[in-house]
Amino acid sequence: MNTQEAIELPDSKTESYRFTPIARELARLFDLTTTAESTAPIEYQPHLLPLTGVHNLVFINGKLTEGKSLPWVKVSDDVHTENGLDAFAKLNYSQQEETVSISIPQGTAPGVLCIYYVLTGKANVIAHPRIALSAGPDTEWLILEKAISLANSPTFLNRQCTVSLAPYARLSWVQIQSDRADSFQVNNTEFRVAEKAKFNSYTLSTSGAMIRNNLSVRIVGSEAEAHLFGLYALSGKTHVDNHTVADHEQPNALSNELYKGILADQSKAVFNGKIFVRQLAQKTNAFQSNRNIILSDAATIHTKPQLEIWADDVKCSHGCTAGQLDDEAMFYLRSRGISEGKAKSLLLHAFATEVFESLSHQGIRSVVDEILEGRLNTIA
Amino acid sequence: MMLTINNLQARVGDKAILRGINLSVKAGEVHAIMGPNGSGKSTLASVLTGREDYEVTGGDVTFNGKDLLSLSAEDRAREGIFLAFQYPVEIPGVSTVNFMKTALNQIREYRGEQALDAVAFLARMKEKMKLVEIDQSLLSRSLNEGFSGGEKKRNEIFQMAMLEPKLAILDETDSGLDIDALRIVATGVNKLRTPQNATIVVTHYQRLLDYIVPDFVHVLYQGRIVKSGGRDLALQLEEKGYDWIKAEAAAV
Repeated sequence: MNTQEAIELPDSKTESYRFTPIARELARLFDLTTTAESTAPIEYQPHLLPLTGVHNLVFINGKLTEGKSLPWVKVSDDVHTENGLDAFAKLNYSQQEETVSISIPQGTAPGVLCIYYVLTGKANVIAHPRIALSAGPDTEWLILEKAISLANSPTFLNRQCTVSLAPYARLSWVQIQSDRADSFQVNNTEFRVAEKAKFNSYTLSTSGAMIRNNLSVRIVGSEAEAHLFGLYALSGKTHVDNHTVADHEQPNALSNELYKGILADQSKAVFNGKIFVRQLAQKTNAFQSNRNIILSDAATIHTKPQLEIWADDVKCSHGCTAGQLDDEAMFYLRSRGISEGKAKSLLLHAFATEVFESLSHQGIRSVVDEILEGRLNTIA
Repeated sequence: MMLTINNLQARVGDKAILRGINLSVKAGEVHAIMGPNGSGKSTLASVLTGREDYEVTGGDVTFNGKDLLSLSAEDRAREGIFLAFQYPVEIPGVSTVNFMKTALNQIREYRGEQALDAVAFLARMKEKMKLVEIDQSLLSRSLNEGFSGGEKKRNEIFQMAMLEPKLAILDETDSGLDIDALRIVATGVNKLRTPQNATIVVTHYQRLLDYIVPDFVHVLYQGRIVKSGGRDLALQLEEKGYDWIKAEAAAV
């Protein structure tokens, strides 16, 4: 497929991409005006997470391949006409006509849906999957997303997601970003949370070349609740950028954001957390915290909270920290016979686990714990 | 001889803190190290246990035939040295139970012993909890987080009981304790005494030594042991303070 006009991706002159030169990297490695054609059948099953009793959707190079027959999944051609899309969204629409709609109707029993993005091919492996999900009133679901690069060259996943929670819906959204060291990702995700709905987001990033997560939550109903959790534990030259937005449009709602980072080697992380509280959104509680442990002199973190508050009766707080492992704590553990490496991983684990404390689904939780544990044992 | 300290010197930055310490400790003995503030007592405890803030500039230390100063902090612990901290560290997210399980099994691995299974570990924990009158709910919580001063010190002695060290160094264990907590802690320490292990009690005040009765008392001043004696020396210090020691040291 070809685009009519070249889409200009944001470079380092664009404020919100100042620290994340993904356009430059992509231009160096890919031809963004084309997309990899579907390839011969590929053995992806062994790479899926070991979970039972869950539904799977599998995209191969951006096209839905497995899960089409699920009753609430629909694939449709979609031409987007909305203005104000960001460049990556435009790119996604220009290269992908398919939107996969997932509608979980009221009365559906609680469940888990795992979405896998398999990237495969010999060269220029790019995928632009697009999902629109709606969680019906009073439903309770958990969605998990994971990219799997099975290519023998760099990969680029540019995925778009719009998600709406109906009143009283309870939705958890888990992104596991632990792909190969030459994989690039841009994840644009927008959540709309209606009245009295409860939303939890968990983003775990452990590897990859460069990842940009644009995650925004719009509180469009009163008494809604949104919890945004993130953990990035990075080594090598991995670069992870989390840009989040909590936008309170309606009153009496809560947003609570906790992102934590562990940075080793020459890894780099960016955290930018915006909170908007519109004039209507009185009695809003909005909290944000970003805490980082830097394990190496060559690692960097850029962290920035941005609050814009128009309502007058609100409670907001934000804070960010960056520091090293506590020497006193390290000595305390070692003085009891625990090796330096084990002491490090104990402290890092203690630091990290808070992020996933509220993730109550046992199977998913143990998958997350295992990935995290493996990551922290090698980082320390 | 279990521990032999020979002319030990150490500094922080440019500041010499230990200026030639000599001390020998045999199994079964209790030694008290006393001295005014800033005399180097806590530094000695830190240097013996491998804290890296101090630079050893001279002397040597032999522990059960091994060159102690060449060992890492964790290997000293595995060889049987234990430090009860003056200020136990709070570590959110790590429970005492998990901490002790990890420590105990790393020590056992070092000694070529099998890891304790869950049942054996629990049994050992229950037994040692009684010794220091510590509650299990406290041990399941984050290490020392939100503990009172007394709870922290009891937790130190609990850890000591779990790890069964050959040489325990108690660094100002009495600081911040009321008399009841002090008694519980001291009772725990006394119950752990055997003819095979030894204790060094570092303290500013005589008070703790009413409960943990030392065989030897040493007075540290300006980085040296300036006087050694029996238990009477501690009582003398209690009565007369440290000024006469300072005067004597100045006269030499």
